[in-house]
Amino acid sequence: MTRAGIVAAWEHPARTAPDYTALRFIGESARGALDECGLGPADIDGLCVAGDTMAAVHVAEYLNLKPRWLDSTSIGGSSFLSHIIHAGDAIAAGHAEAVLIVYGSVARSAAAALGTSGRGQNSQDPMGVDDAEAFLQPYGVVLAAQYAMVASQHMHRYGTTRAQLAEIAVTCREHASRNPLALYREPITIDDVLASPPIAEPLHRLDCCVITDGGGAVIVASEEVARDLAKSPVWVLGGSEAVAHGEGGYRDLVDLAAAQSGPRALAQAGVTHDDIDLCMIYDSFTITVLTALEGLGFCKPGEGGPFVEGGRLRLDGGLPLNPDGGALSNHHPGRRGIFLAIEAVRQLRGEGGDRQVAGATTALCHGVGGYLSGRHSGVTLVLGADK
Amino acid sequence: MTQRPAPTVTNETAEYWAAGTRDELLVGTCSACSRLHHPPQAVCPHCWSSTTATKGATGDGVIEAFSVVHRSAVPFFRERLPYVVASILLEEGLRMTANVVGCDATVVRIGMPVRVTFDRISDDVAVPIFTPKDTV
Repeated sequence: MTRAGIVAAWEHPARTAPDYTALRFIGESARGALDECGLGPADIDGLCVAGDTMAAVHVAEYLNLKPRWLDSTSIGGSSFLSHIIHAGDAIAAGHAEAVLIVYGSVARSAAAALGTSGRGQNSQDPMGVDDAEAFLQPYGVVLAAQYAMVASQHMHRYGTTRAQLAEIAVTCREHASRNPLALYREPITIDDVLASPPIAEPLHRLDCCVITDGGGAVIVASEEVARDLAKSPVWVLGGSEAVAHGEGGYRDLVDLAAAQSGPRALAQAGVTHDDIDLCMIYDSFTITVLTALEGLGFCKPGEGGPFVEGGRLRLDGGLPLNPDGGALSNHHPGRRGIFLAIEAVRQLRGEGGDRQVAGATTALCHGVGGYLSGRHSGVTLVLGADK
Repeated sequence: MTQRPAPTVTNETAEYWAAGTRDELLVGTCSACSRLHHPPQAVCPHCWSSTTATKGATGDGVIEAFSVVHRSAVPFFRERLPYVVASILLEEGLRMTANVVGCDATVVRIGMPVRVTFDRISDDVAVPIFTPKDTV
């Protein structure tokens, strides 16, 4: 186990900075820390940010970082000490080598700006880092459009068709028909998907996930605790986190976080793509799955279209996808990640019922959060049951 | 008359939105590493230096990807359905997301040359949008 030490501890000298933003403080503090220890931005492979939803992704974008380990623990003023503890654990476990923990706030100036309009701070949150949302706000960039633009580029570059995307929706609906809890269970055809109303072209209604209410819970325990319990544990074999974003204006639209997290997760788990018996891939939209399969390395970039054809993703196919019916047909209360793990565990325990993937012992889960054409997170998890 | 949703303006971005009122599309520059970035930031995303500034882009680019949007809960966009959201590859090599206006949504194509124009929202804010470049 590697010991971890603090190598930079830099304090911004300001106390009153009415022209600053929280992000600017973060950026300058990050630079100060680098100057102190001599590392460069490229040396940083872990990032800790305390803040609201997606805060770590926003800061990763501002700093053009692609960390392989993230911590967004946000528990108030103590958060950063927690980050240091977690960073030490991550380094000891080999998940990162140099973790940046950053903080910035314009609490004083934001308070002074209350009541003003026009120029100046968004006085809602002095620690807010989602300033980049302003570059989407005026354009009606609905979530579906963010994903649709990736589909647009993918179809243009590789010849991927709407019918190939539709295979994913049809597959998930077929699987959902075997799940008594799924929201939509009536089988659909490729033609049904193609004929469904356009939402944000080239994505049509049946390319888009459902919205449901719901909840879930997972408990992870030590081997010692696990061995004493009734059901055999499903082991966490490996996993990796990743962030993709605009890269200062230079990112290729089809370059996704999955391409970072997938290979790392498989390597850590010590398994190959052929070892994977089923995959739970976040299917917010059909394009999310197709591009994830490429990024994760199940097929080459551009080959996702042919890859999903011919029943490969069915329960009896080469790579069963979302046996529960996915977000596309079963369940998506806004963030679906926990259900990826829950269904994978169910399958690996042999409790899949009518939708059981025969003999499944190793599963891959891949979650996506954010805007596929812009800033998003990708997390790949490999789970395995004892054979 | 509905108004285009206004961007939340910050100390770092006020210059960018104000430049639009002078028909200028700004990109970020950095004297430490010489690389460009968009949108402009106070700290360079490439090298984390605070030696950033801005310069005007030519305003020319091509459509790299786009989506024709058919649903909106926002009055301004509901009145303009379907509307086009696009990723524009600027001449400078940088990408940005914006609306494409001034043509029927059905003629928009990847590779279409476009030029920036501005939708003025207030004295301090004008939003860059793109229209097809006139062909000779």
